[in-house]
Amino acid sequence: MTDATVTDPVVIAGAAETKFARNSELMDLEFLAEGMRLALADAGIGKDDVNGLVLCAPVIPDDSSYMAEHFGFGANWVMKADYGGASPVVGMFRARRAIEAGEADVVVIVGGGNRLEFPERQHDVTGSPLDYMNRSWVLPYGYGGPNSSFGLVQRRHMAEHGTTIEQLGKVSTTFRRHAQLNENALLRDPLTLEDYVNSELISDPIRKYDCVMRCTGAVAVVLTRESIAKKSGRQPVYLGDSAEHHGHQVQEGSPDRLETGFVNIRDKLFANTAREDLDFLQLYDDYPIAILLQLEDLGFCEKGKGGQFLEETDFSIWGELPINTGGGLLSIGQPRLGGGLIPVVEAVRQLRGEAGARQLKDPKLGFVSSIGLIDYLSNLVVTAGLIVGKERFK
Amino acid sequence: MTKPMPTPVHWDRGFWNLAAQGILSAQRCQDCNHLQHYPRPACGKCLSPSRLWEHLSGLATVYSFTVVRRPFTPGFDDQSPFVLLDVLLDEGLRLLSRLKDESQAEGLGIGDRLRVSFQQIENGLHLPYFTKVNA
Ligand SMILES: [Zn+2]
Repeated sequence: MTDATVTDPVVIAGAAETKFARNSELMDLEFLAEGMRLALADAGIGKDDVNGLVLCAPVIPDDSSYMAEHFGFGANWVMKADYGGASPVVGMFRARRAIEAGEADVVVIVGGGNRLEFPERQHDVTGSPLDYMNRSWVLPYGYGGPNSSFGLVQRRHMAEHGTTIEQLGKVSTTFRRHAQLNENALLRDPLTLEDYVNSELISDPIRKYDCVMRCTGAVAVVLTRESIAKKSGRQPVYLGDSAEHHGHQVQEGSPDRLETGFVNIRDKLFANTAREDLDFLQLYDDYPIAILLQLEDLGFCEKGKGGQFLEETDFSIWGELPINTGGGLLSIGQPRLGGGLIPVVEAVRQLRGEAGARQLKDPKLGFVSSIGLIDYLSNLVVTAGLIVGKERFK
Repeated sequence: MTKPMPTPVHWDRGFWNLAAQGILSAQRCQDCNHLQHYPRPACGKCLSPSRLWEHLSGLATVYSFTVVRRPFTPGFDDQSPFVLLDVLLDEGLRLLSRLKDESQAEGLGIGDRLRVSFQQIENGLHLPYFTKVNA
């Protein structure tokens, strides 16, 4: 690392979400453009000062440079990120190092688009390894998508550890209370535990209010050096330790359904930051069971005790450990790969004191997680975490 | 709408050939002895291309299961709801499958004993399904 890493660290200069909607006539690229425009406006940085891009959109060969050209960027550094739901956050890690290495000065990271319709997944005959796995070993059985994968995980957790539907339901109902204070959340109607328990079964034991709702929209963040960010007068958000893991227990004949790759990176993530010092957690939440697994594997509670932890902890914005203060993806919606940045945007707002009615009292340190893809009979393929702070990290 | 069907490739042809004879098999690495499923282009432990198709007992237990009520895979709308099985084979491998006879779904539980039972699909391949058996 260069000296400038210390004297002029890489920060989050801007973060923004487009308006989310269930349906839209806009194309993927129109959403990405809008997300980037809003994030740059939030950063107070001009488009012509951007010289790096991380684009989180379905990967098409030889696409990165053309995408930059398409959006009118003369860039020094461009990449597409293809790490499932974790794409934009892992993309942030790449961008940070690129800026530190001097390859770029201002990088916009963006993900989002219109809704993905599933039959289009099978368009490619030669296919990626993911396509091969699905085509030959999963889809012929009439697999029900991520709802089924998490259904298998959740049933196993309930059987092995006595986790209850009510414990998991508290995740959905608490996040919904947060969403009621977030104007950009799509699901803002009151949700009681009774509503949750009685909601339609989708892939038992997964029910309707366990499932993230797909939507249209885009989310973007701008990374640059502190010195550049400060010129705009906006408060930068600092980046602490980060770590990612790809492929957990891949060599196991019978991988543990209930353990995620976070167990491999938690020591690194919390080497310089104590969990007790965190003012909030913003965790990628496509399902309540995903929140539970993250809390266990990140070391906030013992393995198997996640249900009990959820039951005993007040993780609302009024409680001791606020989680997903904006409502999480579960109540906000999942705008394609832009969903991975929703926890980042909420962290930025909280640290800047811009979270309005849901603002926590002077938070200084937070944690953001990201997860992507679910593997054949194991668990998450990509797990990533990042400490963010209001003040510069030592 | 046609159901998705497996397309055999160079590294998994042995599995489908044995399946046609009613035999469940998995890749056994000839260099490091690693046993793996689903089939991969090389050994996941040592990257060796050298493999044998080990015949498995076909006996297993239910590791987990889910009832699919909203299948998103085309061609399965008329079959829903149905049970999707996460199967633990006696040899220590897991695979995704289904009950051959959906009437066995009633009262199904984790730990129930299973036996493999193949079923031929439209493109001629034999797909492993499972039948609940008495312990
Ligand atoms: Zn080997």
